[in-house]
Amino acid sequence: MRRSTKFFPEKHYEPTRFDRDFAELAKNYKSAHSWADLRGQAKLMALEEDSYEFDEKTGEPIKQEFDYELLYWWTSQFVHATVRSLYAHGTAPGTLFRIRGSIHEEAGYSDLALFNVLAFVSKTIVCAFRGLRDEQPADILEEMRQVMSSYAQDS
Amino acid sequence: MTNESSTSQVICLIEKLEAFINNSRFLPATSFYRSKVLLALISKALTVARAVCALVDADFPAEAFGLSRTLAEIFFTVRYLSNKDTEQRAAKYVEHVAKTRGINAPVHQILSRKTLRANKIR
Repeated sequence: MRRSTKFFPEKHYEPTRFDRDFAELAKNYKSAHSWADLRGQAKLMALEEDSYEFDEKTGEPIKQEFDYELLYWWTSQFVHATVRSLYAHGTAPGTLFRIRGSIHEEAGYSDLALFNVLAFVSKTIVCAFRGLRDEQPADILEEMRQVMSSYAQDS
Repeated sequence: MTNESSTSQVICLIEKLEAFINNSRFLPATSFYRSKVLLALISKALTVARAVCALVDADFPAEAFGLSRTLAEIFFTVRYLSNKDTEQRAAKYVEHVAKTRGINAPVHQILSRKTLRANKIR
C-alpha cells in the first residue's frame, strides 16, 4: 500500500474481497523480499545439507557451495552494473570510444551460458522430480550430461 | 562449436524435457501446493533456458550468462523445496504472494486503470 500512496497519492485504491485473507497470510512473513524469511536466502538455500546426496569420500551430505560461491557470484557480475560487466565496453588509451567497442571479448560467455543452462536445468529436474515423488526422465538427463561433458572437453 | 549448433543442441534437449513433462499429463492436486509449485518452477526454468539460448543466438553472450543466474536461483529454490518438509515449504513459498500483494496490488490496480485510459478503453 505504501508505494501506491507514495507515487499515486491522488488515486483511490478499491479493496478487493481477497484483501482480508491476504492481510492475514501476510502476517506470517517479515519480508516482502524473502519468502523463506531467511536473511541471505539464496545462500542458505544453497548451503542447506542435502537429504538425498552424500559426498562419496566423506559420507557428509553435499551442499551447493560451488554453484553458490562461484557460479551464482560470477553470473551476478553480469546481472548488475558492476565494473566487471563493463570490460567489453571500455576504450583503450588513445582510441576513439565506440559503443560495444571490445564486445568480441565476451564471445566466450556463450558456451558458459549454455553450460549453465544444461547444468542448472538438469539439477532442477532431478530435485523437482524428487519432490514430485515421480520417476526421473533418466534418458534425457543422461543426454544432457553427455553434452555438458563435451563442453568441458572443448574448454 | 558455433553458437547455432550449440544452441540447437541445447534447445533440442529442452524440447525433449518439455515433451516428457507435457506427455506425463500431470494433474496437480488442488489441496496440495507441492506439485503445483514444482511444476511451475520447471516451466519457468525451461522458459528461461530458452531465453538464454535466444540471447546466445542473437549474439549477446554476456547477457545470456547473466540471465543464467536466474536458473541458478530456480535450482536453489527447487532443491530447498524438495529437500525436506516439502509441502510446508511449498505453502510458505506460495503464500508469500500475500506479502508482496499487500504492496503491489494497489499499484497494479492504479496502473491498469491508467493503461485503460491511455488506450481509451472503458
